[in-house]
Amino acid sequence: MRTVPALLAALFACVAAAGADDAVIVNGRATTTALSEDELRAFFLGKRTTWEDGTKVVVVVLRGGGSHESLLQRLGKSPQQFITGWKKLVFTGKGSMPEQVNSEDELVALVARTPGAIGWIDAGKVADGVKALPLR
Amino acid sequence: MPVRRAPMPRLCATGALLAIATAAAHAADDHNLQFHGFASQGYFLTRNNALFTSESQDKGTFEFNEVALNAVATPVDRLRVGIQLFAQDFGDSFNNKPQIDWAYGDYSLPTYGVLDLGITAGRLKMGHGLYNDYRDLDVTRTSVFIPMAVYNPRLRDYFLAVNGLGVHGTVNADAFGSFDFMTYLGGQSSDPHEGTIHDIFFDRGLDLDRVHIEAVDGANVTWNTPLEGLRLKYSLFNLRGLDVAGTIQPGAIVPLIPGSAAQLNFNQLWDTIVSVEYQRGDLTLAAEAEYWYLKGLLHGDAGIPVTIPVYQIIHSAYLSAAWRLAPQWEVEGIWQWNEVDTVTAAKDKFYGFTAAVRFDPIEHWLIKAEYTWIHGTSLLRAAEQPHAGFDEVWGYFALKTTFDF
Repeated sequence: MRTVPALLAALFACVAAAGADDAVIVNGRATTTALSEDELRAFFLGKRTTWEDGTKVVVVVLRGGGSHESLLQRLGKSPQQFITGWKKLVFTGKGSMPEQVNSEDELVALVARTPGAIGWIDAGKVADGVKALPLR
Repeated sequence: MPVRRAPMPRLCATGALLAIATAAAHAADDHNLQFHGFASQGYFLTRNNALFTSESQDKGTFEFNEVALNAVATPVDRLRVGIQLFAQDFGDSFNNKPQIDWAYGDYSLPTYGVLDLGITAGRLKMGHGLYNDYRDLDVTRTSVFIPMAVYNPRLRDYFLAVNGLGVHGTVNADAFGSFDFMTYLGGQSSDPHEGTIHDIFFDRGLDLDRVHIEAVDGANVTWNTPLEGLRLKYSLFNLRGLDVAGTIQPGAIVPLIPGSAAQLNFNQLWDTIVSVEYQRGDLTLAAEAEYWYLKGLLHGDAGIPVTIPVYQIIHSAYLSAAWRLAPQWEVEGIWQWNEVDTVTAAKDKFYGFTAAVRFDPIEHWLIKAEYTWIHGTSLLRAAEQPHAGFDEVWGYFALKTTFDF
């Protein structure tokens, strides 16, 4: 029965994480328990490249689709501006391009097996090996 | 007199390549090693005057290309190393000679309160102005050229990179937005026989055989304001102890004997840029104003040994507006202005207007074109003209395509 509160808590975390439909997820071994809006922007725009424990941040994004558009809306960027921002970092040595995947299942799987990974998906897709972080 | 060449770029390259190789061995299967690059080819045509090569006038030139390849790796937590090799040809300049664009290691310190801090060493981008770090990167803008008034290609070598140390970071100021900062200290090497410094002095009648730069330092801070999309930046660049020596040429702008030796010691050379950029939806507005100041003493032979004060002051500014009309189409308009005051009696200046269009057929391929109309001559070199003198009114057309991966 102890799993029920845990499941409720996880569900709450998913919903609170990023809005009614989306969630920010990280690798299951991450020590971070919540993100601020500024931290969310810093990670997905490549301004912060390491986690608190020193692990490299690996940003995983969808090539397109509703969840990706919702992320861009949250960041206040068009698809062009998002990619251009990352290319600025890559071609000045200040960052590495996000890993791009075609589906939310792929995204979850990649985040689950990659230490330091962070992604943005439909909240209903959260699965084993990743955890949804609430936004402070 | 022997040419002094600083070994730093080669050391940087060797160190960075070793670091990359080590990192590759540890990181190839761990999302930790990435290779990227770009290649471009353009066509450049000028009207009434030539720019960068005499061939640009009337018939145009295809000597207008770039290629870059980089590798970035994270061999251990918090440490990122990387290198970018770059080559370009632009008229009579650069001639596809490979150079190390940047090569450095960067260590991120643990976040301390509101402060994210990093330490970087090697051949660093300096972040001077909004766009110096991206001046070779077509994907970052609509126009073929960033406004030459502020980003003069002839001064490119100064603002390209510094070999040394840097500290950078972000201060998160909650309701006041955030502040990004970068400060650096190091050196630059310069070839007396070609490039920026050679051209500047050659045009004024001094054929260099020695260039020595004592140190370069600078800082910049960007305020990412609470208003979404609005950022303000202040940049300061300081080049200390620039000493050059060479031979006075006939027609020099100073009254020294042709063929005699001369030496210049600059005790001040600094450049500052104030920048503002506002990005809202598909609209990007930018404005920058620059002030360049150079002052020193010329020691030479005018029949008797003489010492002559010399200086150069440049004021520059531009306004730009870019609009993404559709996912694949973007247009931009630019107004720019530049005024150069040197030891010569007359001030030289220009102002111009640019109309540019960019088409992105796919994510990694773009095509762009621009026309710039110019009144004034401060961008021009007499040595590049196929005719005597300059026309006051002139312009250039540029067409360019770029692939990146």
